[in-house]
Amino acid sequence: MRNRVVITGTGYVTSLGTLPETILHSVQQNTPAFRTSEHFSDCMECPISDFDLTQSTGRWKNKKYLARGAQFALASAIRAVEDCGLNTGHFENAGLFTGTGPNFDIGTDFPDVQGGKLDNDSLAALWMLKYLPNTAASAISQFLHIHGENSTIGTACSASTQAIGEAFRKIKDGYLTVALAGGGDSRLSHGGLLAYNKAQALWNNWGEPTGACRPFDAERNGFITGEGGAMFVLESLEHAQQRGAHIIAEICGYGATMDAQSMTAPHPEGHYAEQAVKAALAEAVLLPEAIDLVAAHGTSTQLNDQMEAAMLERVFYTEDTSRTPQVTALKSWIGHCAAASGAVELGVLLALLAQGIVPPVRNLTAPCSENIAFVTREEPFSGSHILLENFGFGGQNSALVMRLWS
Amino acid sequence: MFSFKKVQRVITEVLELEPEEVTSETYIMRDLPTESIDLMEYGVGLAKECGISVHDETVFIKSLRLHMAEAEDRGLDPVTYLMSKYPHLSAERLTEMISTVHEGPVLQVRDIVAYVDHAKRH
Repeated sequence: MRNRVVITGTGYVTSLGTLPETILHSVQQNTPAFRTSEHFSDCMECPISDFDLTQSTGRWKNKKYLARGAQFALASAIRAVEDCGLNTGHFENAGLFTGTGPNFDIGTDFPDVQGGKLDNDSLAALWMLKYLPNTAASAISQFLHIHGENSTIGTACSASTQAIGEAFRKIKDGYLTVALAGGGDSRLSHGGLLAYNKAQALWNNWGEPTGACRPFDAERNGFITGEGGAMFVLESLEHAQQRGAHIIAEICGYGATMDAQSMTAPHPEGHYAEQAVKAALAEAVLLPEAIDLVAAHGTSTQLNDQMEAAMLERVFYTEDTSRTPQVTALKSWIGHCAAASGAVELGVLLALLAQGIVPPVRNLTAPCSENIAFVTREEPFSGSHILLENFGFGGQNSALVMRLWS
Repeated sequence: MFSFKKVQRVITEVLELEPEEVTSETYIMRDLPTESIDLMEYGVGLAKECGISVHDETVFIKSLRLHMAEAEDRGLDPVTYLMSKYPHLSAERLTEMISTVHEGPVLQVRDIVAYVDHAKRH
């Protein structure tokens, strides 16, 4: 049994906003939330400044066990279910696929560590829950009464894309009819920024925050740490049509591979990233020419963008391709949301495309490739097929091919 | 009253309740949505808030029924036996607990307050 799989609900918490209108407004006003970090004066970050989980959950005693990323995931899940028009009673047999990252907010829980002695009076008895990867899924399931197949995916910056891909496969193959998929993450703590600062992955050019983060630009030199969450309700097309659901997009294909090359750096030729993209196209039964828009991983690091641009050229911009896609990079708007990257980027993209707008790659003035049709100013969108790419520390590559529903 | 406020604060913070929802007579397990992990958080919170050493088994009278059975098996007066296990509770309160234990978990906020006051005195 092979089902077609559609997205019928979205919920997101992003630094551009939590509603389609506010995201559009932020893009049109060119006001991403980049700023200098409170923790490290030589780092920049892209925070969500006015988030309060209580607005989504109401009074709930277990909030204290959720790291910030898990809070974003839970808030997004509640919004996605509200958006899809199904009540929570319909989620009993639904699946739940959550992309999460490690909680690096160590300084909050252990502010006075000396000699390795961790215990302090302010620790909750169950403080460990904030550090367990599946706590987000546990909280979401409690709130939405989800009892079906589930998985917590921890494949770094590829995680939430893979969560959506896994949910897609489960529905396509008939194991599930409805699933919730996406993720939430934040690395904006002292520990999170310290981790990436030591790894020399962060933007380290002085200058105005608005000029930082420039994917695929010759002057790129690191990413901006972001945060956020996004969850999507996926269901079989048959189920969605039977209940008269508002269909947002169809997921047509998914590809996932591993580089088996390096602990952090991407494969220099992007060979396996290319395989992931081609696998997603093959599952969608589409030629590269059918893709109208690529939402690139585009981290603004030297290595990723060089690899990704070369890979895009090979797949989409060969001499004999009759039609080529536009390419954008959402991290130039929301920073790098780590494990939540793919889901948040998809949420923002779907919100903007539904309003007819393709967001440009910000700060791209000297593209590293002359062949690729990067979007450099806000443009209208009339296409239908989009490709989402995300690659993670550890060599995980993932790609989703989707078709906007019309 | 001083200890009650502290116990009340611990419980309301763990469960995210308003102060008026937790009175001296409130049953911890019957009236409040207390789960086993919440008892652990109460224990940690009492230690921090009241500056006492907390023995969860005793303060939350977790083994009340077991101790009642032990007293019966050994032919001992149940109130006297329970007083040896729960020295912070009065004979009158333990008698009341024994007579109402069939109605459900008997632990009330005032019993935790009694534990705190007793711990501070000793």
